[in-house]
Amino acid sequence: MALADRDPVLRIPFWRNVKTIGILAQIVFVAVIALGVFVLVTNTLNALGRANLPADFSWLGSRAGIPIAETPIPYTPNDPYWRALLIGFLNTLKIAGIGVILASLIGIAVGVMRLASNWLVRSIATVYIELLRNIPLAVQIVFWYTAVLLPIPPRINNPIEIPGGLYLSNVGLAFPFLYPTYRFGAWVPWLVLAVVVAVVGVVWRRRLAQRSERPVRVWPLPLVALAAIAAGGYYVASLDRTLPDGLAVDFTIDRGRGVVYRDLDGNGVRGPRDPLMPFASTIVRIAEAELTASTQNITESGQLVRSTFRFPMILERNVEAAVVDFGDPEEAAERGFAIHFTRFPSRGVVYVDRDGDGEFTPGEESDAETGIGYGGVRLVMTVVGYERHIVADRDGQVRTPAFSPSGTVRSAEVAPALNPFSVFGGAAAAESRDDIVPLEADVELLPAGPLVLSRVHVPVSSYEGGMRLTVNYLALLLALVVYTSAFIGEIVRGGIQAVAKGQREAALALGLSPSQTFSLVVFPQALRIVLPPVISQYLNLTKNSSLAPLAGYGELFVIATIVQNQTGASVPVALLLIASYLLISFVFAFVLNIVNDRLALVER
Amino acid sequence: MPDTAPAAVRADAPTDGQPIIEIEGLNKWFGEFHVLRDISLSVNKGEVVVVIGPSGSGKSTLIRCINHLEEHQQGRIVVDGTELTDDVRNIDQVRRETGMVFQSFNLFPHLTVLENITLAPIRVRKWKKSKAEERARFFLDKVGIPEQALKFPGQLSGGQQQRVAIARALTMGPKVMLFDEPTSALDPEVIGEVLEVMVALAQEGMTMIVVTHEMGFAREVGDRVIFMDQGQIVEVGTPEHFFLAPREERTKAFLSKIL
Amino acid sequence: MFEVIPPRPAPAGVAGIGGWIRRNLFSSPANTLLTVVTGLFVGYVVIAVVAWALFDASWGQVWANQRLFAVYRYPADLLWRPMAVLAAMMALIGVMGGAGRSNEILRGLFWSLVGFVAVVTVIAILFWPSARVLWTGVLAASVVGYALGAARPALVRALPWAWAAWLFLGFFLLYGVTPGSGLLRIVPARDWGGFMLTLILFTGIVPSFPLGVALALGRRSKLPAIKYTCIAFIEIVRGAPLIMWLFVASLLLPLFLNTDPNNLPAILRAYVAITLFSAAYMAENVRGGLQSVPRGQTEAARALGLGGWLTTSLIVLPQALRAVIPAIVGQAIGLFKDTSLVFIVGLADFFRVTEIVANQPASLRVTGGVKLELYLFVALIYFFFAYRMSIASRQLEKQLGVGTR
Repeated sequence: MALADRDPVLRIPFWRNVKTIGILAQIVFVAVIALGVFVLVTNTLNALGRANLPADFSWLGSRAGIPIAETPIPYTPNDPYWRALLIGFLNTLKIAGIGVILASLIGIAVGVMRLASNWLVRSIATVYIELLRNIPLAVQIVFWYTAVLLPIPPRINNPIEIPGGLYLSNVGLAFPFLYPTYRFGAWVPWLVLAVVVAVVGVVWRRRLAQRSERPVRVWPLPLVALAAIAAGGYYVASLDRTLPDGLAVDFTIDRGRGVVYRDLDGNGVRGPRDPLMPFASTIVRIAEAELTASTQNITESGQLVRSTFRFPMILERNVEAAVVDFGDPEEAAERGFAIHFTRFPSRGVVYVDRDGDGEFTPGEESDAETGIGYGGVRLVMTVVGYERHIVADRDGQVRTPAFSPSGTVRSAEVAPALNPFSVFGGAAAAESRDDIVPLEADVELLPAGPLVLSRVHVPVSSYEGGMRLTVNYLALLLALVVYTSAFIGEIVRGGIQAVAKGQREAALALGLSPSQTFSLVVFPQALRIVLPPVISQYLNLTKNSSLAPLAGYGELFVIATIVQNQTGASVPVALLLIASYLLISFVFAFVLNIVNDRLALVER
Repeated sequence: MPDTAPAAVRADAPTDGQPIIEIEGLNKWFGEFHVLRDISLSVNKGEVVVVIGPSGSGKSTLIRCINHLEEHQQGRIVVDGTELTDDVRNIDQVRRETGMVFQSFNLFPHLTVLENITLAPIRVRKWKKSKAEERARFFLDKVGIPEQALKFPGQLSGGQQQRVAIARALTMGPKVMLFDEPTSALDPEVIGEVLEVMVALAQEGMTMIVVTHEMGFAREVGDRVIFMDQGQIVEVGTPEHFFLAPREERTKAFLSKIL
Repeated sequence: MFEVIPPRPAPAGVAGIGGWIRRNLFSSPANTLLTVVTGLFVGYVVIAVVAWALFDASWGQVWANQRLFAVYRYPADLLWRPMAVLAAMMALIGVMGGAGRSNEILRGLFWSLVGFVAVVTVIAILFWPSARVLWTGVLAASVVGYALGAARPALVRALPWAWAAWLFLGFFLLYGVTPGSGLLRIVPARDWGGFMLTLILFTGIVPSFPLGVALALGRRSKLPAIKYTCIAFIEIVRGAPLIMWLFVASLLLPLFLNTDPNNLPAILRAYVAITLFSAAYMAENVRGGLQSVPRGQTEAARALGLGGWLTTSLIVLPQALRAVIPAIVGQAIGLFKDTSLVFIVGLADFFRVTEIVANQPASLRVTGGVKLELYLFVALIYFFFAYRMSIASRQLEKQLGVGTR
């Protein structure tokens, strides 16, 4: 045989050999890349050395001194840099988590609207989607923040009350929230048990469903068991009415502040090592005390508000009696002043009843000739039987208005000049008079269940209690949600339309109603098409939250820029940022892979 | 090869001819899967070899090895005196000398028929554009569709597309033509027009290796028929031998199913 | 006996406007109610917005700051320079539009741009004396370009060179040549801004294209070193948001080059960041196209004797790129919107200028504020361009889908 006899060609020049060409190319490529990296790294090290900038991460432990308005976990400016960055990361998750849910809901609604049979509804959805998708997110964020949320809602001292105990103002939104107390630990085993039982239940029902001839509903029973065990556990945990050892409160009544703590060393005084107790339930009782305020003429939300007084907010249900009177009754009588409450007893105006109808008529709160309001009129509120249920905040703080001893104002009048100390501090002036009721507070610590409902309270110009979302958060959230929902809406529409027409027709032909057809046949199939691109929209939303500097919300990127600015640690901060975002992206990619696998499984 | 292994069937060309393709002890694996097992085959100049066999028998892989679209792991392949080794120059040389026609045509959809045909002559053979176009028109004429030169492949029927593909391969002036199931993707009514072109080509003395299920073509034009199964050559013979008196049981079973 | 029945007109309510209205607005009582309620709502909103825009809004600050919006602090006496670059660009696009008779989509885009220029020209003639001539010139250049292209379609062949020349000369015209004073004096990059800067940054998509193609090819390489380097680059860049890369680039580029930050204008750093970022996304788009090209195409080319490079450049890439044009346009829309993020490195692009205008003393004096007006104006301009591109993208998709290949 000719071929078998001939020798094979063994020597091939390496530059023509398929096998070695590849290796050669890679060596050259890697060499070029390595050279480039080497040059850049050398340059960077030289530059860092010259400018004396930190190139390591040792600064992470030093004091940050960065004030952050919104912190999901306790934080003070005294905390180190790493904690500030951690807060930023958590804030990113906080806005992304909520944003993803809201964007999905709105997106699905818009996507379904896009396919409505009603032309008008369809068109609204189309305009919504096209408009929002084609305007930069940056413009939208600034629009919501500076053009809508900052100017339009009322000021914090006059917030909109939304039914359910929510308050909205230009500072943000506050709403009642359930917080875990010191008793929460007693509930945890029950929760674990509930979840375990539910999981076992689901597995058992699944098996049953596979074996049984008759249809078996998998989910209801385990879910009922879950709820029942959790509820029972809550009840059992609440039965223990004892307080933790050494639970104590340190309340300074004339400052209106207290701190709940655990007196571990048992010396009866709050020492530096005694831990603060967050979310403790307390009742503050004050027999008699008074507050003072002066009327003001101010501009608010573009409107001039005249002769207005505002005490710290006292709700009628919290007092046995509250009386508001002029600080100087004789002068008030002389000038014919009367008081009109817009919200008894804390808010109102001072007016002169010019038309004599015994009631406040708009216009009477300002001088007839000059049109100027009556400013600086002092008022005193005397409160009897103040009793309020207050849930301590995350730092164990309990706050009430800063009361003065009852009768202080009268006694101050005899002083030659208005001495602020005598009004607010009370003690010095108060001792000289007999009719001053000594200021005493009785703070009772209540036994708590595993969770406690913290309500919102608006004393004067801030929110207390509940959960508070800053206007910065709201603006960014609104913009992200609205922007992303437009993209999700378009994906949902595409997904529903992509479900073959035949599927719909087959379902209708089987006698399913149009709504059954949609929910049982079309939607499940559309979900499969829609889910992967929607997940990547979730990732986009998360990454887009880095536009937070435009709304002043302290998420990861914003905190990182501040940290870089303070420390000059450009390279470490850049590395941290890149690593954080990569981590987030990888988590999303991981979820996406799982979803894709499951969807592929369903397909089979 | 260990002595205990069964000896592979050889498909050597008649000794009176001049061998243009020589394959010796060819083995190939896809991962763990042994697709080609000890294939030895030679083809003489002007010979038409038809390869038949059930799907998955390795017949397509075999002819794809001949122009190195698939890399073989053991054995030797020599085409027109050039051995297929890791040498890039040899691979290019062999590809220039072998034309290939695919089951799914693989015309370039973004180029016109004429551009499809002239692309390789201009770029590889470095012909002038005018010469390339002249040759292209000649072969288009030959496959019977001179009027379609300026259309895009998407505008042609399957049969026309396959004929363009044949013209494209021929214009390079190959010494060997490889056909990988050229009619399998075609509608029954247009198979004939493609086969006609192939028959004419065979009669002009082109060396051809044809993987096909068209037994009529095999019987009519084939000089030799090779039956493959499970990556091996099972039986070799003239069409007469094959269709009238096959030796192996496996061959008989296969032929009884498709004839 | 078979006879053809002649077609009869559809009964009322099936075809025509009446039928359409019935089907789409009043098909059932519930639908009618929905129509009425949403109709009232939409009517109210539209009337409120129009009334506000016409009577309550104060657009004075938008008019008063036209130059800031257009070019930021670029000297007023040198306005002719950016305008000349713009005019040349419009003329070149005009030639493309005029010559490419068959390309409806390109022509449509061109006329939309001309429409925009025409509106600005009219406004300039009415309210912006110093730019009257310039804008008229731009409008004229566009029309002349179109006419030229229509008359001499062969000019298309010169276009690549013309664009290259435009890029080169355009840069020198914008930047200037001589220090000091004079017609061609240098205008430092820190004075560039406004919509001009937005457009300049938008061109970052051009260099990102070859980079992206290279990365996409690298990602599909059989050689692990090249493949994984490309994957790492693409995934790391895509993993983090653009605003972060702008920030990081502005910090690190001077360090990488071991130079004083002042030697690297912010615009250059932003441009590098935008280009690299865009390249990573481009690579993923192109990869999608590469995957859509069947394996048989490569095999056929190799079987014809074409080498790896020729196969890629003549067979695979043309098909892949064609398939991803809509995706690339989509990416261009994204980039156009994302140029607004350069505020983070202190550049005064179109978006940032709005903030600057909003904080001018004159703006703060307006009762009720002018932020709403300013942001609506800016949003409208962005919307016009982005929406026009998205329409083109949809047309392209349709064309390629139905496509006569």
